[in-house]
Amino acid sequence: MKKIILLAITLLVSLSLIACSEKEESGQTTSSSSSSNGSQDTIVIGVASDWKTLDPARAYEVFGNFYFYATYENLYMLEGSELIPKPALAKEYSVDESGLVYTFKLVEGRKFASGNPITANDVVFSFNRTMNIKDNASALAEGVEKVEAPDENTVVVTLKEQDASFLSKLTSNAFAVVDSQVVKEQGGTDAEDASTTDTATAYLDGTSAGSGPYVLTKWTQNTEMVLEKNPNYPGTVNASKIIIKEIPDPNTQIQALEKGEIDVALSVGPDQVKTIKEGGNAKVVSSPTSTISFLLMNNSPEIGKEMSDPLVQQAVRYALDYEGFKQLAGDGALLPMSFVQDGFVGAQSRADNYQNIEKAKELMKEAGFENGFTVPLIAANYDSEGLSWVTIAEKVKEDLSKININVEIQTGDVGVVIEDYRNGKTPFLVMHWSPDYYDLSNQLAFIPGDIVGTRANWDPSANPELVALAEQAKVEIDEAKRAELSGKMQEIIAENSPYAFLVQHPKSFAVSANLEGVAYNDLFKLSLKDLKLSK
Amino acid sequence: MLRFIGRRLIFLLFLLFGVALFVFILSHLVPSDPVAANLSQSAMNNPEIVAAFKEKWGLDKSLFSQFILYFQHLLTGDLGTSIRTGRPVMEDLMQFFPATLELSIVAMVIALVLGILFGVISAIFRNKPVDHIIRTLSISGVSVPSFWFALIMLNIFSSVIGITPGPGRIDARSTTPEGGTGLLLLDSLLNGDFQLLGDVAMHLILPATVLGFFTMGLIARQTRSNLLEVMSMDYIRTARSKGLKESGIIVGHAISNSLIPVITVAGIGFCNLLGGMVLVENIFAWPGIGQYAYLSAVSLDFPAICGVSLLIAFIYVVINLLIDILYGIIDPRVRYR
Repeated sequence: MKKIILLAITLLVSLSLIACSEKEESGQTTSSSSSSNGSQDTIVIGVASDWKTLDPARAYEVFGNFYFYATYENLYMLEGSELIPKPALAKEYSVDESGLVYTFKLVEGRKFASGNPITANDVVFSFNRTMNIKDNASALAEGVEKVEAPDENTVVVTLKEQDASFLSKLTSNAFAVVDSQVVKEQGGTDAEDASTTDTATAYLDGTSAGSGPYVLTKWTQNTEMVLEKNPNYPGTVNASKIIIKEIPDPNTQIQALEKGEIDVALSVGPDQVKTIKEGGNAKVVSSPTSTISFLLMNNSPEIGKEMSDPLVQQAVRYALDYEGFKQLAGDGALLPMSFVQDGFVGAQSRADNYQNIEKAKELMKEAGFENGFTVPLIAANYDSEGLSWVTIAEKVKEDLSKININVEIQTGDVGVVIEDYRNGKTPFLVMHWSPDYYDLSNQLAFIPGDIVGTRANWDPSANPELVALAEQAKVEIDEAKRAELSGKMQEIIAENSPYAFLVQHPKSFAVSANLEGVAYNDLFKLSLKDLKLSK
Repeated sequence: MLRFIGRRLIFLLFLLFGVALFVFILSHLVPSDPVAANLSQSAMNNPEIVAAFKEKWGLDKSLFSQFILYFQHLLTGDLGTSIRTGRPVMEDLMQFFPATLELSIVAMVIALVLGILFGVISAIFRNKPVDHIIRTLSISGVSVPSFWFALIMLNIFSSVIGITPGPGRIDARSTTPEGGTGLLLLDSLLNGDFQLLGDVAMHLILPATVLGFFTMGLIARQTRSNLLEVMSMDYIRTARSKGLKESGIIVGHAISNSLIPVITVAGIGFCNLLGGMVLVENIFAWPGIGQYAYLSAVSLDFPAICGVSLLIAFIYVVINLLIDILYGIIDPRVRYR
């Protein structure tokens, strides 16, 4: 009995102590946060990242290059909002007549953050390590036959076959140049057995070994990342410190931004940015991305049933209200004609008023489905740049009801849905495509027999002309000719394919009203060195 | 008593084995593939990369050999390596557990103190307005979904009124101190860093209140009904007839006896608290086990899922054991054989 009383008293005393200390401390907290808020030199970014590793030879995550562009450099890189590769560690390149041998000349006198000079040997080591480590990033380097360094400032890359997208591939983290001396000291290797012998990842997850504007000083997965200015970086770097905080819930990110605790709320969607009040201490930024959402209608009659009929597929494309999808996706949304997004070579767009219900009904009649049918539409619990796939499916259901197609929406875990999609088992589904690199070649996955084509059971024999055009586009280096090929393929796929491309999504996020230098790029999100808090 | 504890500890070992087996089978029954969940689209199309991935994580072996291997490692205290983070699961758990432990202890203290206080007040003022208010509060504690409550509380107290800070364990513009126990309240106190202590305490109030709200409701309801039951017993009537003051009767005789069953409820409440952790930690950007469990589940990280399950099962059993022991100490009528 006495023990219980003692316990109760202890609890009450501790509560009152906590309450007292909280009161005293609240004043201190406010003053400390306001003093740090005053610092123009540190920028805090709220994200819900998907980082699994910070090793450039392994990472492929959506947020990968957000980090790698801050800490590493490549031979060629993207700048600002553009998707055209610009020279970075290389000052120029040339291709031989065969189109297979690329020779890069390095900028002279550059150093890594460690102070070690950047040489052609570092480039050779980095590329070989990526190829041999056989992880996610290696897929982008599989077209490389060999890499050589004839002298300190020259790198020669030989490809297995011609690849018009090679320069675009070079801009991703798979080809980031690492400080070979540091990485070797930490157990890194570029040998053929690197997949089992390389042990440098643990080191690279805690410290960067590159030459970018910042160096990584701390990374606690799912918690925070700290980047500090690289003293050896020759360009302008505004903020001396960047703190990246993991805030998984988008509403919480907006609240933290409006409260002035963070300067950028990056992982938010169109719904959350609507809540931001005009004239407050936060502003909304919208920018196009290369993510497109589409409907896949399986071409196999066993799996797709009615949806495998080309006439039904065309009727679906005519029945959809594209303007409505654009509004759903938010400010900055675009309507690509088919599988090539705005920003890519030869991209064409679709008219807002493409919808034609009468034509769609005629096609349904011609297909023998005048009275319609019922079809399940699979939409995973996932979103494209903040727009839920289930919301997209609801809009599809509404549109297709006008041509008597009764859509039954089925939702499921994204892991399970993706598994079925990759095995070509889904009859009709909402999906999106976000490129691994920014070139037309990446979009050729939609061609019959290629990655997505196979998932739609779209056999190469179904459209040999399209397959031939794609083969040409893969190797054509002449931009004008490539644009022409791209246009032809888009027209064919827009009229005759197992896909209906819905919308090219914008990225909406929010930043402090006094943050300058904000330009969104689909590959690396934000150029951290350009961010600056004005007074 | 010692034999009782010994028996319970042996039971714990069997239970952990059962949990490991169950979670292992369950997570492998999900019709989804860790290769698809962890490799990119282009990497999936390269057989060499897929083979290297399977070999690295032992996915090329049969399910049975995978379990045997996993269990062998378990016996040596090795929970395996997380597919998602690439680090030993034990290391991950050690990193994320302190944040969860700190939050749940503070939540539990809030739940116990407020729950008992509200329960007692409610019973004393039975059927008076204050009783109705407290009963409404406790029933909402038990029925309001924690994620909704978390969002509303964050909005009201952090954004609108602005008396509590935003998400995270500390101010967003400072970085989490390294080393120490990982329990920031304790670490800052030991280091004499009172500014950090204040910051940490302020960041704890809101998530801990949200998390403890359910348990608080449970305890308040239990305390009220126990106290009312005790108040109608013969010995209380005897005390009254002896002319003791009503306040003396309640404090001296009734409360202490009515609190015994509350211990069981508090134990259940603490375990429930761990369940609410996943959503609350996500909303408050709290880097703890709840977030870790969620992220591991969506990327089908089997070793991590098993690791978290074992940890939670371990906590459940240990808490129940502690309650049983506490019961024996508090109530001499309970004897263990």
